[in-house]
Amino acid sequence: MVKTVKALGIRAPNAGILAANVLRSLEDPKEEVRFIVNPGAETGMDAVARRYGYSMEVSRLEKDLEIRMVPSGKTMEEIDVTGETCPGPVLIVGERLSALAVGERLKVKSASADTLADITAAITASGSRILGEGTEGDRHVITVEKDEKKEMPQGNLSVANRDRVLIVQSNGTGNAERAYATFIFSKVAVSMGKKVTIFLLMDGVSIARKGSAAGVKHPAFPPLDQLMDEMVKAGVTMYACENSAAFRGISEKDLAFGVKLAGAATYIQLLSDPTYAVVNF
Amino acid sequence: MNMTYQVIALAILFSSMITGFIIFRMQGMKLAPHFGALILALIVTLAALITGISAVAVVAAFLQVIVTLTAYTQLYKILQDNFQTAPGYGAHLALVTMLPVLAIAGLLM
Repeated sequence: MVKTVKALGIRAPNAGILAANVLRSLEDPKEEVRFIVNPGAETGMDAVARRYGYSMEVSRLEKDLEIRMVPSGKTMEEIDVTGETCPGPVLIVGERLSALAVGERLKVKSASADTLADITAAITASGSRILGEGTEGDRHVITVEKDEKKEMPQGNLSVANRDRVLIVQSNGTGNAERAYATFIFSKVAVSMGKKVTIFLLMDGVSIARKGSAAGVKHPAFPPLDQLMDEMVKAGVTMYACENSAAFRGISEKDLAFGVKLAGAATYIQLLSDPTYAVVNF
Repeated sequence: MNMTYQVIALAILFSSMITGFIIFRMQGMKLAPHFGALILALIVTLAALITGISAVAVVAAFLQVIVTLTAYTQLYKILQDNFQTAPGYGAHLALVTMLPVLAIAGLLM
């Protein structure tokens, strides 16, 4: 369990005195405590944490600071999802997170950075936070803090600035016109200052296989691989559905330059984002 | 040489022109070598039937086999990864797959 104490408006050293009183009066000495304070109020709180056998971490919220006091020796729960395929990792982490209390943390490891990116999309969509990411040996790691989803104020959807475009491509190299349309529309959207994300789904992942776009040609246009390279260099994000790729025996090493594998959570997150206009090819 | 097989091959080549045109529209210039082979085989098969010359019929049979080979070599990459659009190519592949059988039958019987 994690106790949260909002101490906004209390300055140092009073915030430290409050922290000492809170730590002294805890019923469970293994309980973690989060203090939400104004910047500057944390001065002296580290000495309080040491005195009561806690380690202290400071992280910045939007305007305020989060001071987390963790009993020394308490270890964070860890989970390794290496080898699991989409949507396995998202479901495993989601289940584990649901058993945690708000404020508790979980370390998630995987050999694939793309898998962690998918988990990150699912976690942030559910309201929890990613506190940090990095590597440990051959594993990519993220640290997650459980939180509750904040309700969006009414009216926000209608004023969302739709300045991003999601192009869903599910026909692949088997339909040259749709394949061309994907990248020509991307080019137009980029020229209009839009941020473009292409999600290759089902047959669409055939475009992601290294060298396959070079075979799609039309006299009126440059070869598809040229358009694709141009879009990657222009900053277009290109995802290939992990499941669709697995169905076709396409692995990470078979992917064309600039394409990343992504799971169902990333796709759902993109579709749910009101700032995206969605186009299907 | 039995010219009956060449008549059947000619009918298949005509039909393949239609199915081939449809997949050419879907696929674009990638299929140009196959479409070229198809047109050439059609012309030579027609010439073999009009002239009745065995040597021309042998060339026609050879080109009919080439039509099948180019269809598969050009479409292999597409069929490898495109499961949903593959049926669009089915009719053309089914037609051209008959050609080598007829070509061999025409030469041997």
